[in-house]
Amino acid sequence: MEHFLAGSERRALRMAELATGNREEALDIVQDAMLALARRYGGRDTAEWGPLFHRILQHRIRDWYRRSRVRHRWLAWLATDDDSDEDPLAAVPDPQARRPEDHVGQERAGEAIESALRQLPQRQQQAFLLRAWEGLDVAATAAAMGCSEGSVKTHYSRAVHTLRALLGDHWP
Amino acid sequence: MNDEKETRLLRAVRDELDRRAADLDDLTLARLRAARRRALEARPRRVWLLAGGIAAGALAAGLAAFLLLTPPAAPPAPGLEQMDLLSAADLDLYKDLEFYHWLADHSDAS
Repeated sequence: MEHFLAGSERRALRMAELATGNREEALDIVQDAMLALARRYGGRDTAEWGPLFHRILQHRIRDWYRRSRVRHRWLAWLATDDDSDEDPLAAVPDPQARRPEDHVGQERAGEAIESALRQLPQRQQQAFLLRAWEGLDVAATAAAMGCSEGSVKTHYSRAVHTLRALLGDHWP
Repeated sequence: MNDEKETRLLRAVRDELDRRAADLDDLTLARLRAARRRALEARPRRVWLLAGGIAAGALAAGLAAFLLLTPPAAPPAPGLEQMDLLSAADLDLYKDLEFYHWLADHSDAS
């Protein structure tokens, strides 16, 4: 178990950080996921730990999104007294995200990638990171995200399309 | 964008993700190690589970052997409370049964 966690924790942290835009929140999420895996599934076959860990992690990230959305709704309601049903979170700019265009002419393509990944909608970001970075297949990604395989394909395809649009200038 | 360009783009994204995961600062790495340690301490202890399982198995085996090897005990004599429950009518019935037996035996003989 220690070997597995040691080999997964950095990537898990980066995934949570990309999703939340906040390292402290990401550390909490990863710690919760590790605890849940060890407590509930420590006795399972080691081959099951990877998919189970990602499933727990993605659930924790989704919970964080829900709580964050509620928090932002309250803040928006208190601030504007607006009855609009529009999700205020969508309008809140990510303080750590900068548009890739801002980096044109700079040599720091890495920051452009980071920024582009942060701009992906949550489900697209999850599907992309699990498929392209963690190397999970469609079925395992669907299990981790708690959705159908068709949804995974759609989210992944849209994520790649968005990344192409945002980063195409850096990799012509 | 053709497949080759897309492959190059995806590889660049993966490389960047790997690079950032490898370049985490010392404080963050220490906190990850601490979180990992807490998770490992929280997992159910296999040694205790194994010892508990062996103890429970031995107890069950001993109990089964005791039940199999011990001859069944005679039914306990009725206690005073049970005696009280026997009414006079019941005693009369027992006496009557003796009588009926006696009567049957003697009827056959005659």
